[in-house]
Amino acid sequence: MQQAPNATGYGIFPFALCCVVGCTGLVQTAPDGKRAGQASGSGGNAVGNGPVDPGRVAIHRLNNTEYDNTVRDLLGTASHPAAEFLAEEGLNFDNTATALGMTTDQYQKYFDAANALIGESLASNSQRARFMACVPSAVADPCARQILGNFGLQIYRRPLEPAEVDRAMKVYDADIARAQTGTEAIGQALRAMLSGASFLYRIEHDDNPGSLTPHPLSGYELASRLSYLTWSSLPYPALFAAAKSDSLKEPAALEATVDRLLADPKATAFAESFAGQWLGLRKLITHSVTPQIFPTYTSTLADAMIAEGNQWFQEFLNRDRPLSDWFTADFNFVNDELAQHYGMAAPGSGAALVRVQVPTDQRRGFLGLASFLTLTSVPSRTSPTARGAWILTAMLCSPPPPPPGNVPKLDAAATAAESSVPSGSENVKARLERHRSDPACAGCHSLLDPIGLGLERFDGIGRYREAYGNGDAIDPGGVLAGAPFAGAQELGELIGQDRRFHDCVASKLYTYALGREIEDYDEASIEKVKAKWSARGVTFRNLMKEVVLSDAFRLRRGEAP
Amino acid sequence: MNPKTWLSRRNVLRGLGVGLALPWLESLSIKAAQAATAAPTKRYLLMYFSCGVARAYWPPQGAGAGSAWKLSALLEPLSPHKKSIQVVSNVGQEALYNSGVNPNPSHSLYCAPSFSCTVPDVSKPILGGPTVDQVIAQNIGGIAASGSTIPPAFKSLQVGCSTMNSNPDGRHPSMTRSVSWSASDVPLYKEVNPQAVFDNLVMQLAPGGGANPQNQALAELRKARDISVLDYVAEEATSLQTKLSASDRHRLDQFLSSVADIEGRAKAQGTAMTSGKVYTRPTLSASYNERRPGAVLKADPEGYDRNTHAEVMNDLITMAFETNLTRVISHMLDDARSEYHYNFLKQRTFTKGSLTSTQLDVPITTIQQGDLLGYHGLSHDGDNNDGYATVNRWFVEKFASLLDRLSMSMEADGKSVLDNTLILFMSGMQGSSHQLTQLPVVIAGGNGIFKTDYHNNFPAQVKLADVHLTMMKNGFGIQLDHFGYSGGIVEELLA
Repeated sequence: MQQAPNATGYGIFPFALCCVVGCTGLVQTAPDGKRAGQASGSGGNAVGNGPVDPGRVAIHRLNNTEYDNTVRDLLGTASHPAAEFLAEEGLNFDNTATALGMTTDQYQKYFDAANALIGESLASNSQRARFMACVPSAVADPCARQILGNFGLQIYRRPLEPAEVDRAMKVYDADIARAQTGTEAIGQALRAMLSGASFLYRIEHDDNPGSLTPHPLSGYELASRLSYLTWSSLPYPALFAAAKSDSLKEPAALEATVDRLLADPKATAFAESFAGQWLGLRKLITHSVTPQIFPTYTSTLADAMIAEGNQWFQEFLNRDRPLSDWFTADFNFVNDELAQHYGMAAPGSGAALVRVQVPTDQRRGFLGLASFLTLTSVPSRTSPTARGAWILTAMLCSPPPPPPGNVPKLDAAATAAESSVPSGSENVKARLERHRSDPACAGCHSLLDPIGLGLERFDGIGRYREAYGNGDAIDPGGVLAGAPFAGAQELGELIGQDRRFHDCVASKLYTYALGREIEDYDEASIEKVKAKWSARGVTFRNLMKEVVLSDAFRLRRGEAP
Repeated sequence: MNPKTWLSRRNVLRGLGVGLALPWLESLSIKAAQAATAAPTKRYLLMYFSCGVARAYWPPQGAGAGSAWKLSALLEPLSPHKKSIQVVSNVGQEALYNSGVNPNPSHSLYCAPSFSCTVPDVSKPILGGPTVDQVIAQNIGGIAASGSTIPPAFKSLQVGCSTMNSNPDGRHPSMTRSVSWSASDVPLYKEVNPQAVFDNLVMQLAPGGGANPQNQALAELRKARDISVLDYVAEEATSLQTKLSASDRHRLDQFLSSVADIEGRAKAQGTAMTSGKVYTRPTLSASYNERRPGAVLKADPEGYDRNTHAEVMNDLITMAFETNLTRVISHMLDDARSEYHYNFLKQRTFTKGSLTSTQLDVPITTIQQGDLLGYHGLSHDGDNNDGYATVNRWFVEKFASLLDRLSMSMEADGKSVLDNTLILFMSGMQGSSHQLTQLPVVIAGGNGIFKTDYHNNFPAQVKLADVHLTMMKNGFGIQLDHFGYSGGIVEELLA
């Protein structure tokens, strides 16, 4: 599926990169609204009321965020063990099951973290009380069985089979045999469970792993899908209870659970993870900006931009704003530093972000957010090419092909000059025009550049301007998919009306919610979700509910052996 | 000229020396490999540094053996070890990227692929093949080295000194953060915390953790518990297999094999021979943290010092080798596109043509982009940029200080650990021009198999893949026909 939004390919050295082939399919919206190049419905899986193939999700190792949130909610720890884990990124999103592998050194980290967490839990009265309902002392102590069975349900996110409790009891008994206390021995048994596959992986069972016939997820599996989708963590107690009573199978119960989960502050995990990756906000943390050119860009300003991006998304999610407002909504979330950056009156809130509305300025909609405008620039200036490529990739799910390799080598001397010389005698637009005159480059650049050129009135860190540094006036004219526009607002309106934007949002959330890549067999399923979503009202919450109600979320199947 | 077809008289003689009845022109490569099998090197170390070098001050003066060549200003810290090293000039990786890959100079593309010599998939964690250190580890990492009876507890170790999440160029971060990949899709991320490295090593040493015999009872309890826990984990995962599909069983096998590795280590705890030395736990800890919102990008954590970090890692590498706990290590002095600020360094001045540099009593100059972008920024400021060269020289200095340790650690066979170790010290990028030609490459040690006190200045570009292949075949007797895009071994590297 789509590559993660990434400004680099076309961003860092856009004048050296050319594009010979492959961009023609992106020029226009396909008449049926489908993504260019996307296959039409395959015969056996057409849209309709019949059953769709729910597919299957591979066993899913907890990613670093999920691990931290899970042990926080399970053990009450304030530590963040995953900070010591290896920084990792996934495919599309970092919760894609198939991209979450395991190496010896990674396992060593999990093994060590379990040991440290149990040590911490045994030493803390409040943490210990979470599982020590009684204090065992003897071999085969019924109290130990009770603890391991009860707490084991939360660790495994499902009830334990008696044989599984037996297995944990062996670890407990062995430690008692080493003359350790009952509490210490419980610690070892819990440590074993926290080191085990049923904790470290979310595993959904198929009674018949070789059968392709769909079957419903168990209540517990469904509960985990819901809580990891919204909280990146394990289910809360009432959700476990609902799993046990199997009440989640009712659509109304599912929808109510989504509302309940999203209403909790823990749901910020969803915004930070989903929007953080979809909108590239996480990448802004390490985005580079040349201080000689943009001396006002600081790490606190970057943090405010990221926070604004997150709050922007949450405003749409939590207040059920229609997606049609995405490119037109006239609010921003600013602190004093970001307000000054935007040329707005400082709200006097210090570092805290507040919602403001300034109808008199040029900044409106998502395309006016400094996070987007900065992320899609290079360190020393804007890159209309990168902005165009990013919009096509992240907003329209129509990524341009990567630049080919058979192009002239980059002149090394020009590279250094490119990034260190401020806007000079020839502005960005003029240089790009020169670049497009090379027929080898025109194919992609004549598609990408005109999108980004319409945003030139926002500089490389998102400040509004009407002229380049050398005094040249900026013409905000651009072209998207053959349609001319002037400025960010008109561009936003065009994207907002483009069917591909809605489709793109749907496929992004579908991918994230399932934690797997979209496969060919998903087409009918996604079409169904989109149809029901459109009928219901195009908000993120409604989309999430339709995904959750879909067969792909509630059912699974095995795999041909 | 094709280097591998160049036959020196010595090569011919050595071929004859192993008594093979082949026509002498038929295949020198085979002869050389078999000659090497007779005395394989015990250990392999890959020491990586990032962002290339300030080219103006790197190339040695003169070429050839002994007094025919002199160390450059950047290589000056290696002068005590000149007799143990070979500088290789004109090594490159152009053959790889001429095959149709985006030539856009990129730190990440010049990092992990430098050691697999394969074309990676830029967005996914797919490298295209295993890296050289892992091929060596897969061949010798689990086998006791000569002079030792116990198989190494660690098939390989990956360590490093980076502490911050630098920009991965938009590629998958594993490309910039790991030079060790056990397979095309399995990056082995490095441990940057010296205390964690030490704890893992010392656990294996007898008695009771080596340095603390009084804690033997505690060490034994820990070992027994680890084994209990790991037995549980293996049994539990195995019990799940019947409920999983084929592809999920394969994924769980990856888990089980990791568990088996850790269990092997746990069972070997306390059994490795000590080297007769007392090892002390480092006081410095380090972690690899993403920058958290609100944190200042430039700041080191309190109590952290990069120079100490690098020195402690040198201690740990020495410890791991001299105790025979591992035979293969990769060490990244920094990540590929490091934005770390080497502010602890004092500025040095370099002069073109001079073989020395002068340290000034002022902090390192971070001109131009360097101030925000750290070391990476400096690397963009030209090949005669003193700030860039100052950091480069520090990397060489840390390499030299590791050679100090390894050369002073003597083994039962009368050789030093350095003699018995084959070391590759290099960057995958040339310098400020960000090209993959004229890479900075130094070979050290090598058990007499590789030339030492030598500057090999090749008139035509030597393929990096061929350098790796030569180290694998001749250094370790590994029977490989090719590695990445390799053409054959480089005879001139050999003694």
